[in-house]
Amino acid sequence: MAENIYIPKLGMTMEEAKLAEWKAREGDRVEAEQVVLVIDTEKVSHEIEAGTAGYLIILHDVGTVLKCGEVAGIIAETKDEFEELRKERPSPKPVEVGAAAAAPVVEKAPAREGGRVKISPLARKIAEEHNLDIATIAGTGPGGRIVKEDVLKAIESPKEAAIPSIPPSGDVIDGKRVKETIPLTGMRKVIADHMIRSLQVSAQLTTMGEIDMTEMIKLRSSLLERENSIGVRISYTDIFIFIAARVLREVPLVNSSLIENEIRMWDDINVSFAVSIGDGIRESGLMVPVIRNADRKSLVAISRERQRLMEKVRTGTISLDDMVGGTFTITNMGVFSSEWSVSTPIINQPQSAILGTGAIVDRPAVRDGELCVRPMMAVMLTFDHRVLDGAPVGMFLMKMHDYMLHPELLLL
Amino acid sequence: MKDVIVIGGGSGGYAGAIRAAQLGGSVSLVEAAEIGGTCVNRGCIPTKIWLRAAYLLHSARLAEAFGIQMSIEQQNLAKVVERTKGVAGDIRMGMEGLLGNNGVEVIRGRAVLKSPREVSVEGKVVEGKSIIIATGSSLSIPDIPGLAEAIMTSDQVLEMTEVPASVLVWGGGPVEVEMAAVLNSFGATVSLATNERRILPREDHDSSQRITQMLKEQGIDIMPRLTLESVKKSGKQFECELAGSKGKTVTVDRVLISSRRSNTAGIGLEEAGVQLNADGSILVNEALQTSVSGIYAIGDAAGGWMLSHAASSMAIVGAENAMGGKSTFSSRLVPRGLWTIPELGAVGLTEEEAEKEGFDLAVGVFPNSINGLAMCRNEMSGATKIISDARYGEILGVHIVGINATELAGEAVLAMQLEATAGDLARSIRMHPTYSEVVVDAARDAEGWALYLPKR
Repeated sequence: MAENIYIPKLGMTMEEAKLAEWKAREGDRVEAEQVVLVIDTEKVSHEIEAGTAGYLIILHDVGTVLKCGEVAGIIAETKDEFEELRKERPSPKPVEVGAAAAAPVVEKAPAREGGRVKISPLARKIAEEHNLDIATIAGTGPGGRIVKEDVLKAIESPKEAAIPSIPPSGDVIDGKRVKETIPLTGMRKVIADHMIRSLQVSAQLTTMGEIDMTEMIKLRSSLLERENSIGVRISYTDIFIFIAARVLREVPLVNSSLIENEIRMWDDINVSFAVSIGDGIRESGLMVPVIRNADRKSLVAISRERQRLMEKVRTGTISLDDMVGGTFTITNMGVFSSEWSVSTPIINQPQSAILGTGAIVDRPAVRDGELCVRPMMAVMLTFDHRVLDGAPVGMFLMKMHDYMLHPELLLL
Repeated sequence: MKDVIVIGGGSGGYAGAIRAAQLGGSVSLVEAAEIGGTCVNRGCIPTKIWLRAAYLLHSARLAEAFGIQMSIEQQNLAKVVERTKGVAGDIRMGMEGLLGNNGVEVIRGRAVLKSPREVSVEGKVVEGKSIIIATGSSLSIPDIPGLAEAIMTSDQVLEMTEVPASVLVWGGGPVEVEMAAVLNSFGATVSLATNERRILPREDHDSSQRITQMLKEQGIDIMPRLTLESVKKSGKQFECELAGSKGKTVTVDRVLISSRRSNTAGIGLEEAGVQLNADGSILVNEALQTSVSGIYAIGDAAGGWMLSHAASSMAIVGAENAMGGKSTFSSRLVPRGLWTIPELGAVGLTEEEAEKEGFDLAVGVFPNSINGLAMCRNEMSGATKIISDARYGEILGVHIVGINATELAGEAVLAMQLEATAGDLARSIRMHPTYSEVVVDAARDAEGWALYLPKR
């Protein structure tokens, strides 16, 4: 019996997903636990397993957007069943170049057609010996078949012989040499799409300031000293989330979303916080998990929750539900550099504001008319001017300022 | 203005004209003599009829082993000649019909290139966007003192009603070898001399050796490393001076010459800027384009293998490119053969060539003497040799000497064209008993697991 591969509903708000990558080819025999499909949702990339052993039938191509519950592919139990089902739903064929009787053009097309790679026995043997993935070799034989020459070329100069849809390294484009090419798929694509959309829909600007962190440093030191009895290691991010959540209770307009001509002020204060992924040298990514009802959580609870979510990000087990529902975002950029810097973070849609914090750096300050050195932290609040004007923003920052300079006020 | 003008209506020109018409081109084909050219009128067709006659004589002798006593009552050579004319005529008629059927305009006359877009046929100018030169080749008589009077050309052999008593065949190429075989079969005392180290120098050395052996057994005297210096008339015969370390003089009735040269003179090539090779053939690239854009050359006119099927294969590529395509021709897979007893069928590299190209070789050989059908039919001479690359099993060359070799070569071409490995061939099933098994058995030997050969 054949089994369908459905688009799963990964979170309460999820409605659809885009097919990002088929990990197996049409006709491949797959095992039950084998990942066959990667889908992209608005927030996250998700791997889908075959679910049952059998032969893969691909119903929709990469790039298709399907609704939750729709069928993306089928696993046929037997080869016969595979053939039968394939006949009913033929996979899309590439466009033929020219009429059948026309003089044949040398095709440097990918030899894959719905999964099967056309390759001569000799070429296959050579490729196997050199551990080459034949799916990446462009074929110049009849009908795009990979022949010996193509494989030898791939061995000698791997980048040249690859299917030329992705510009290979070593290429020169606009006079610049390509070092490496990273396709825009999965998380990167999700981030790219989101960022540009955010800048396009909202009227963003950033108000910047700096906060004297003397009291905060004292506060955190004290908490760190008691780490064992507290049971958890509190970070500055935890403190910022705690304070920001309470400020949002006092300035509710900042905890809102503009949705279809209506400004929704949220009752829940769900603070998203940015987590960076990758070594930053060759890989760079971003996930933004959410701490729900942060205003009702204690500092310890916030810290625990933050650490639990970061672990999930680290192990790749973060789910869509962990990342939806945020009403305000904090991004602590102080972790990237210990030097003074300011920036203009981009709003996490559909929120109305995002708070960025920098590193804590000794800076010249004026106290009682005297020049002195204080540990200062840059704060950057990007806000949506469609929803917020200077007043609520100013109030938000002033309250943040106040609580950070006088943490005893948080007891009230 | 035509899309394509084809000069020459032989194997190459004919195929090219039809192919261009298939691609929608308006085509004119110019022929100064007979459609069919050398192949139909003076080459493949008549020679294979003669060689078939020779084979039938041979099989009459073979019949004895089957308890059938046959005696030859008569050999009517005129009848053979008549047959060659008849078959050639039938084929010509068919070709002319097909040319008409494809809408090709046939212009009778001798063509001369006026420019890269114009051809003049005895005064009348024809314009074409592309030109395909398929003028073929002709007999080329070497300049040897005294030779002219002694000559019997291959054309004359094919029309002979009487066989000369003794003939010296000068040259050891495929045509010379077949001519020697025909003459010998019909009663002439034949000797063959060549300045090369062996007959069939373009073939694998084992093939040469096997064919030499067979010819010797049939009574032909093979004399390599000799040069025909001069011919002196001596009564009704001719004294041929053969110089070399084992130099000698042979006295014969006729000296057979069948050397050929591309027909590239006097057709306006130099004036049009078409470059020639040293041997007079037209220089072409792998798209069969000459040094002048829009002018293509195929077949014997372009040198190379100088075989009918090489011409017709080049014709396809030439016509496609003349019609705007980007096809290429590789002579790598042109098979060649002999319709002698036993036959030769070969494609690809010889062992020496493969070694020179740096391949590490795995060679397999299988003799006909242990092929089931060959044994049944008492056709046991010859052997099949497969040369493969030891590393990947790539089939580099297949050389078959034996009955039906010319047919069996087709399969070898296909295997190489599709890049099957020797391993694939070794596991290919063949009907038993057929001659075609030799290819599989030789492949298995190359792979080191020949089932039916003793362990080495």
